[in-house]
Parts: sequence; structure tokens; C-alpha cells
Amino acid sequence: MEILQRKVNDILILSPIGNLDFNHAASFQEMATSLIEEGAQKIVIDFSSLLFISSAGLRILIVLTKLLQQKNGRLALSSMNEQILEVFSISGFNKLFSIYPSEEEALKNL
Amino acid sequence: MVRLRNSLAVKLVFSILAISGIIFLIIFGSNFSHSRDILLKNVRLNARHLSLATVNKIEIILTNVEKIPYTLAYQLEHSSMTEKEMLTLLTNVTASSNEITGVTIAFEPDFFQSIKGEFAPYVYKNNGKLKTVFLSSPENNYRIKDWYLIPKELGKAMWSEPYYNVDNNSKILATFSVPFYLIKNGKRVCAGVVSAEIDLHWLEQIVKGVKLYKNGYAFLISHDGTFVTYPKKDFIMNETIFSVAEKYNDLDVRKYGQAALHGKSDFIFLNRFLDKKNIWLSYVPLLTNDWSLGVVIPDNELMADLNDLTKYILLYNLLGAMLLIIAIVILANRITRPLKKLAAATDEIAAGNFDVAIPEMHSKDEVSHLAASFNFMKISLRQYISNLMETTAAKQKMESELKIAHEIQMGILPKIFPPFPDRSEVDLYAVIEPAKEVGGDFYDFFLLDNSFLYFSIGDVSGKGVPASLFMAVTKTLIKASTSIDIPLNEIITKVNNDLCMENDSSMFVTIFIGRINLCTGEIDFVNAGHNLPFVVSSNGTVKKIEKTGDIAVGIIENYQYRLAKIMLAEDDTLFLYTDGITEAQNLSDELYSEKRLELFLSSQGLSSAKEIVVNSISAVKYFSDAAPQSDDITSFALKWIKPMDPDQFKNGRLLSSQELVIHNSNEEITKAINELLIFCKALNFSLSVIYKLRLVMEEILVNAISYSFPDEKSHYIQIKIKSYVGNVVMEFLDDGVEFNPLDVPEPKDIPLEERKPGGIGIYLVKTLMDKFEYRRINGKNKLTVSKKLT
Repeated sequence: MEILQRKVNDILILSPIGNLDFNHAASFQEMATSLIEEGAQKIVIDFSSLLFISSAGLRILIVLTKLLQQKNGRLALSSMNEQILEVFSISGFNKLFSIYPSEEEALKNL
Repeated sequence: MVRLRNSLAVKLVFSILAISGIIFLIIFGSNFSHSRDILLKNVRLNARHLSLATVNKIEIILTNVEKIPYTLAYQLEHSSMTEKEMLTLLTNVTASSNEITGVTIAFEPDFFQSIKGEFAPYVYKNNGKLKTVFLSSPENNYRIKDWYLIPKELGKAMWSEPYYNVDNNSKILATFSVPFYLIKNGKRVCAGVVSAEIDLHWLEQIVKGVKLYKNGYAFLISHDGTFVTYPKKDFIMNETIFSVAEKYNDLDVRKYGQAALHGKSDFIFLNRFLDKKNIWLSYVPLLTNDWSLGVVIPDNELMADLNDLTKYILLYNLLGAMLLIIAIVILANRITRPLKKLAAATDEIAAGNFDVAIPEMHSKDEVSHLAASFNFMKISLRQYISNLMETTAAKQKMESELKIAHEIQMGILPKIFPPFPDRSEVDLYAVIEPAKEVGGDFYDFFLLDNSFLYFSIGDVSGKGVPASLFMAVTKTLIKASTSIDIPLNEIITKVNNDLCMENDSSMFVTIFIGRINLCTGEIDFVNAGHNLPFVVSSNGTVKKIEKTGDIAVGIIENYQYRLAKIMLAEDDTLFLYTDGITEAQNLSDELYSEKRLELFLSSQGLSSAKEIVVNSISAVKYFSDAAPQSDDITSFALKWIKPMDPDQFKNGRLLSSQELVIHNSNEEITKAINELLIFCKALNFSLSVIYKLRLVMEEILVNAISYSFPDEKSHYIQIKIKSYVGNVVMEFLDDGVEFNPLDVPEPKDIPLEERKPGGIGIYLVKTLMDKFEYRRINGKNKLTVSKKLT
């Protein structure tokens, strides 16, 4: 899957495009973990172009959170579409992550 | 085999020996006692004769001796002689007698002619020569001697006690003295005594010659009891019979002594005579001088012959007994040999070998008769068994045909459970536990119009093939008459009329038929004389469905059956049964009864339909124990599970459905998801619903592929997507290992970092769907999820 990456100050913004499902989870995890190992401490994952995320994707978010906590870093999620947000809130996963409506707010709060 | 001590030969030997032994002992005892009496009688006679003869011999001698003093005394009284003539006479007389050792004529003083004072010439033998002495002397006064004084004083002739010779101590002498009388001064006065002296050694010789048996002997006692002769020398003259009786303290010897001195005779037994052996004693008196002769016979010698005889008799008897044993053993063997052969043959027969030959007996005795009887019995038995086998074979054939009939009968009952795997609203199970004989129980159920489940249970009167045929007809008629738009009571009324027609055998059937609305749990039913069913609620409350008062089917034509209704609450179970349950008997002839059934059901509130049915049959069998089952036992349970959305059944309308089969690979998951998305778009599902269905499908398929196929082989997963009004359902069916995703622990309480993707996936499915169900059916995992459409 295609993942755009940008940097605003010291904050890394990752924008996965399409479906973060069982098929693409592995490549996304590989990329994100290598970025953290290279020194990224504050990461915002921009959901604006993400259509679908399954438990495989959720697991990566959990792994990344854990990794960043070890390095005193932080992870923020932003700009989720209506369906993803609904799944997050029904399942209670919204309480596990810092979720912001927009990228600006995410950057502001990191 | 017969044990030795039980064998006929041993028994015969023992009994015959015992009897002959007793007979022998009686004969032997009486013979012994009789022989002893005869023996004693003979001995007694012998001893007496011997004693008398001896006594006679002695008496002859003594009488001869006595004659001499008598003759001399006579001559002195009737003639006078000179001293010289007297001395010559004495010498002649002494010399003429062998026995006499000396003769004396002793006068009273001054009585012989002119001689003054005493005068006593004495002629005696000394070493073969005759010597003459005159006894008168101051130191040897003959007038005070016993031999002179006692006869003179008593005035009668008499023998003296024996005494020792003055000169020769070894000689024992005795004197016979006769007083004589003369006229002096006109008076007859005693003038003196004539005495003859004899040596008693000849007496000893005579007595010694008396002998009976080897160690028998004789002895002589004088008239005061002194031993005159005795084998023991020191007894002679020293002891009397009374002194020895005193010495050995023997009363019997003293009694004998007294009797002997009184001149008696007898034959007596003396125990340990003089502390020695037991003896027999025969004693007789010597009348001449009042002495007594005793003849002694040792008892052991007397009895020696008898004892020898006894020994021989015993020996011969022993030999005889041995011969008897041998004879009995041979005889017993000869008798039992054919019996043993016969026993061996009958053992074979008893073991079932009827071809064994009974040994031929050539004798005409009881054994051969027995053998003939056995042979007859063998032939009869063989005949009987062959008849029995024919009968049994015929019976078995009939039974196997009945069994086939029974299998056919059971075959027309629906027996695949669960019967409606895709209907979650109903959990149904039923079993007929057939009795040995073909019976007439049945049950049935079928779905009509998606919402209505028809079910029935029945019991035909009677048993056997007729009942089973009637049952098959009834069941078929019911099913054929059932239609969604005909009320149940009309169906039964019609079936009743059909069955009443030409029902010559007057059979009838009790039926409970019902129709449940799976959406509402409402049941319409007709109870045609059947056992009253129970409704068991999940909290264990048991309610009986009350009588409707209708009679069994097949009895009254045109009978109008009534329809009744009940409502099931959620998870209520309707329990139907036949009287095989309530009328099952135990060994004490008690019935299982409705009461016990009700009690049992009250414990089954949470059980599935299958559990209730299986447990009810186990409970009845446990109750019956070993008592035979006399009737079919039918148990039927229907549990109603309230559907989540009863609306889906309202019209029973399925809007659309899609079915696809995929392999167990990730690429196939993508393919399935694409199909799902196309299906959803076609039905215009909202984005939210599509998103959720997609997520759920991915999670379930990823899970199934990860966990259900550890063998890494190619498997299929069958997927059904069904859209109802207001509801969408997805079913996943795979043939992997049993895996219930609902058993995966909830991730809620697990720390963030330990959560596994599988756990999260299942959690999401549970959270996002309205219903999530797992079942293992026929070796397959079946997952059903449904989502309401709003």
C-alpha cells in the first residue's frame, strides 16, 4: 500500500492510503518501526486517506504505541472517517489512542 | 473321577471288615472263655486225682506203720513176756519194716514185772545196724515227752508232730504212739505207750514226685500248719502256712490254711502266691494224721496252651482278613469297572457329545440295565435336541424378519439431528428406544412455510407387526393431510375418519400433534388421548399441558377434535413421550409414573433437547434396572429459542442470498470480500453496515485460516450471505478442527501490549454484530453472524 510521509518540525506524519487490512498490515508495520528506530519520536498517523482498518491494522497501532512509549515518544491519530471512528468508539479502542479530528489539532497536542 | 475314599471298593472293604471283625470278636471271646472253663475243669480233676492218689500212697504207708504199735500194745495187754522176749520182738519188728527207724515200749514206773521204776527199751536203726538202748535216765525223762505224755493223757493212739532226729539233724521224724492198759489192783490203768518212729524222708520223695506241668509242685502241711515238705528247704519245720500268710499279709492263704486244717479239700486260685506267680492250688486232707497235701499249678503254664491257641486263632484271622480284603477289592473292581465306563460315557453326554457310544454290557445284571437306560436316554435326548434346534432356527428366522420389519418401521422416522441446522430458534431431539418386539410408537416433525414447525407423537394400541403397520399408515396419513391452511383439529378429524374406515382389527392410536410458530413460541395442538406433555422452563419449573378431553384416533368415526393453544416462553422446552416411559416397571413391579418423570424434568431446565431426551431414557432404564422393557419408549423434546428478530419470519421473505466457496488462503479472503462488497452495494446497504460486514468477514476468515487447519492441507470454506427484511446474516462453514472463537478470552482486561490480533478480531466481531453463534455440526465448524439493518 502507498504511505505518504512528511515532517512538520520534529513530528513525523504518516498518511496510509487505502485499506490497512490483513494484506497490507505487515508492510506498514515494517516501515513505521524502521522509522521509529531511525529516531522518530512523535508520530501522527493521518487517517484521511484510509478507507478501512481491520484488527491487523489495530494491532500495528498498539505495537507502535508501545515502541514509542519506550522511547518517550508519542503517537496521535487524526482525521478518521465516520465508519472507522464508529468502529473505534463501539469497540472502545478510541480510549486506547489519542485521536484528533484534524491533523492541526494532532500537531498542536503532540 | 471318584475319590479313592469314596470308591465302592474301599467302602465295601471297610464295612465288610468291620462286620466280620465284630463277628470274629464275639466268637473268639466266647470260645476263649469256654475253652478256659473246660481247661480249668480238666486241671481241677487232674489235680484232685493226683492229690488223692498221693494221699492214698502216703496213707498206705502210714497205716502199715500204725499196725506195729497197735499189735505190740495188743500183745502187751494180752500176754506177759520177759525182758528178753520183749527185746527180741522189738528188734524183729524194727528190722522187718523199711519205714520204721525205731520202736519203743515205754512203761509207767513199776509196771514191768519185777523192775522197779521206769522201763523203756528202744530199738532203732543206726547206719543199717540195730541198736538197743533204755531210755530211762534222770536227764532224759521220757515221761514228759510229747510222744509219751499226750497219748497217755488223751488215752488214744496218735501221730506226733514231725520233729528232728536228736542225733542227726538232717532227719525229720514222726512218731505213732499207742497207749496200752493193764489190770492193777482190779483196775484197768494205763501201763505205758508203744511208739514207732519213722523217718519222713520217703514222704518227701513221694511229694516231690507229684508234679503237674513244668514248674508245678506239691507240699505237705501238718495238722498245725507246719510245712512238712516244701520245695524250699528252709520252710520245712521252720514255717507254718499261717506264718507265711502273716509274712505276705495274704488273707486268701490264711483262709486256705484254716480250711486245710479242718480237713477240707478244694481247687482255688491264689493271686501272687507268696508274692510270686499266680497259681492254682488243689488241696486234700490226709485222714490218718489230719495233715493236708497241696498241689500247686502255675497259672501261666496252665494257660500257656490256651494262650498259644489264642495266638494262632488271631494269626489265622489276620490272614483271613487279608484274603477277604483282596477278594473284596477284586470283586468291587469287577462290579465298578463297567460302572466307571458308563460314568465316562455319561460325562461325555453331559458335555454335549451325543455321539459317544454307551459301553456294551454282556452281563444281565443291574449295571447292564442301567447302561441300556442310558442308551435310551441318549437317543431320546439327541432326538429332543434336534427338534429343539429346528424350532429355534424357525424362531430365529421369524425374529430376524420381525427385526427387519422393525428397522423398516424405524426408518420412516426422521432421525437426522439437528434437523434444521440453520434454524436457531428450535432445538429438537427425539428417540424411540424400541422394545424387543415390534411396537407402534412414532414421532414426526417437519417445517412448513419457514415459520411453522409441525410435530407429532403417537402410540398405537397393541404390539407386533399389526401395530407397526397401523403406525406407518397413521404417520403417513397425518403428513399427507397436513397443510398450512388447515387447522390441526381438522387434520386429526380427517385422519380419524380415514382410520375408522374398515378398521376391522379395532386398533386405535393416541396422538399429540402440535404446530409451533417459531417467531412467537405459540403452539396449536390437538391431544387425541395421548399422555399429557410437559413444558419445562429454564428455571426448572415443570407444567403439565392439561387434558383436552379428546379420545384416541380410530375409535369413533366423525368425532370432532378440539384445537388448544399454549405459549412457550423463551428457552421453554416442550417434552412429549409415550407410556413406555411412565409405565416402565422395575423388578418390584412399580411404575416409573408421571410423578417421577415430572421430578426428573424439574432438573433439566438448562439442558439441551438432546440432553433431556437422552437423560430421560437413561433415568427410565436406571429405574427399571434388570426388568425387561415391555414397550417402546419414545422421548421427544422441543426447545424454543426466541429469535432475535421475529420480524424476519413475518413474511418468511428472503430478499437475497449469495453463496461462495473459497480455499484456505489469503488471496481467497480478498476474493470473498470483493464478493461481499458487490452483494452489499447491490442491496444498497449503508457504508456503516458494509464497513462492519467487511471487517467481520475479514476477521472470521483470517481466524479460520489461522487456527482451523493445522494440517496445512487445502480446505474449503463455505460462505453464505443472506439478506432478510431488516436483517443480514453471514454463515461460515469449514471442515477444520473444532474451534470456537467465542472461547477466545475477551481482550478487555488484557494489557495493551499482550493483546493478540486474533483476540482483537473476535472481540470486534462480537461487538459489531447483533448475533454471533458457533456450532459444531457433523464435524464442521459453523459460525453465524447477523446484523440488523436499520
